Amino acid sequence: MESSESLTPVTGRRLPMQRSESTGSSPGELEPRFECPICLKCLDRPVLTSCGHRFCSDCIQKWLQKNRGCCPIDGRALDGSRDLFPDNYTRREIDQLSVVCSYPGCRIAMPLLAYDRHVSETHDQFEKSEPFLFCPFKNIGCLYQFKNPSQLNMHVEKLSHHHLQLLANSFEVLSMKVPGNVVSKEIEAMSWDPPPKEGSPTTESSVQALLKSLYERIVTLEQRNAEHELQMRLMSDELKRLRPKSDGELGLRACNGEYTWTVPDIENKVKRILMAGKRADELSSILLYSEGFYSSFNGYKFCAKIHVLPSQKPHLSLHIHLMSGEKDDFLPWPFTGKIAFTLVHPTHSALTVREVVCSRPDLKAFQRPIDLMNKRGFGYDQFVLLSDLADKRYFTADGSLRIRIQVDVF
Amino acid sequence: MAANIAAQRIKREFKEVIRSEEVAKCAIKVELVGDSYTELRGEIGGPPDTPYEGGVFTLDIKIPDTYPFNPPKVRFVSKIWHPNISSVTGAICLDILQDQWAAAMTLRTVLLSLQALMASPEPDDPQDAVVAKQYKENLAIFERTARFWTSTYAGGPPADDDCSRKISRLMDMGVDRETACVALSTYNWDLERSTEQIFS
Repeated sequence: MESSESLTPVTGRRLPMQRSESTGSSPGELEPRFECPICLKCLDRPVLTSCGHRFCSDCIQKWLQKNRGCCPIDGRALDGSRDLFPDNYTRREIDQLSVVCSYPGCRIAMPLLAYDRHVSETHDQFEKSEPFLFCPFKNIGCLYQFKNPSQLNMHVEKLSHHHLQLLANSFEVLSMKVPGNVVSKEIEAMSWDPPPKEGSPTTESSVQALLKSLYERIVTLEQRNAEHELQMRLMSDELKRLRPKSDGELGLRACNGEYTWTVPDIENKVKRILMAGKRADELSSILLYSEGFYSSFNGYKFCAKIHVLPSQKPHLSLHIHLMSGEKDDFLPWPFTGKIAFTLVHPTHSALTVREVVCSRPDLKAFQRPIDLMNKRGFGYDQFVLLSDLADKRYFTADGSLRIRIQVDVF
Repeated sequence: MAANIAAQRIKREFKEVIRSEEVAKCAIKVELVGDSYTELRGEIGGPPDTPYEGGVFTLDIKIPDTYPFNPPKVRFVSKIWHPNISSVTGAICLDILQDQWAAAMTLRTVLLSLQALMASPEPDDPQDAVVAKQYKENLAIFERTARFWTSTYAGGPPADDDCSRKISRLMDMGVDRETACVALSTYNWDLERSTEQIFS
């Protein structure tokens, strides 16, 4: 068979391929019959199974050890000692194939089997070190390496004082080396002179020393400034995160059992049910729960619920439910106390509806809740006629209702 | 060294998947996550004439060091309503990903098998009992639910209006979208029973 070599690029790396007119395999691929189905590489010491499949000797042995002795292709039972035969015919065929490495400047010819090893040993290390980005201050001694440009940018931004230091050092070293350099002479002269006294006339070198120290000071101050800015940003984020939580939760705890619930945007829903009349379906019913509020800071936790079911004469029902609170363990159960339900009229206080009831120990609604909320509520199924809500204008200007719940513990 | 064999094989498989005709038809896709060859991201297009049609489902693929002698660990990232896939975790019940794995299988064959599983569920060997029950008892509702999930979580064609309306009803009560979707799907889109379940 013809064994001309040709190579194909795959993700910056090249692999050998066999062009073979006889089997019709497309260019760029290892001839399928020479490929091990387990490692997908060229067959190494090929063996043939009793069911007629070829694998690398190591691959099939390893597979049979790990798994219950089935062929990885057709699942037939295979016994490692009886059903595997060295396929020396194929082995000789493969041995005769050779490739030329396609790495720039390499061009070494070798047997096909040795190719993978050659690439991993000779070229992969080179490949691996390539993607690293070096710090642009590498030449003056900054040895950091990075995988992506954003990391590099961050490094350059943050370590500017480090780089300036390196720059200053290298400048000093360099200037010492240059013979007859003015700067080196000055530095030399400085080491002979006694240290300048205060108020003495400034020489050029002392100005330079001053400049240098000022420069260093600027760098440290800038660095400190950047740190402070970061700290401030973190703290303001933290503050933003904490504020709404503490305000809301504290308000609901410290309300002393007096909770005002503004039910938003309910006017339209109520009007829709009234308009639909008999035709209103289950989808237009209203079921809303308030936030949980506490009878005292460490007291019982309640929430209010309003519910409207479309019917011939729909009512707004108003209930409260006990919810699990953190201090339930320390409270007496069932709850005993007085609950006042108030529907506030926005303009005419005479129209405000207020009902007060006492708890009854025999009701399940006042038992300690097992889940998040006691399933049984307590209150009025027909608190107010839905048509009254609209006719007597209980809604505020923005279409919400205001309901006040007062809980007194006995 | 073992990990090296796994990585080398994945590199080779990559070529196979990229060249395959399924990729050309946008039915499957594999991408690397990060620069190691141990974590991959797969994509399967929902098979035609199923409730998954039009959706693109993302998979999380982890390659063990012992690959290909042990199967890859595959999980759905996109939420999906299917008897053999957990609607909560995305875990998959498929024999070739467990004891029927064979070393000659590849990422391409795994993705194609998953596509076949999507087209023909096995409700008698379920991963998600709730979904399997719905599939066996009410196929029409199962298909409606699966289509809704495809639309919501896998970018499928626009969702059923009735389902969306029921979801927004629950969301009006302060329930988050996912809880609402799971409850309604579980209770065959019965709004009352789902509400009861959520608030009890």
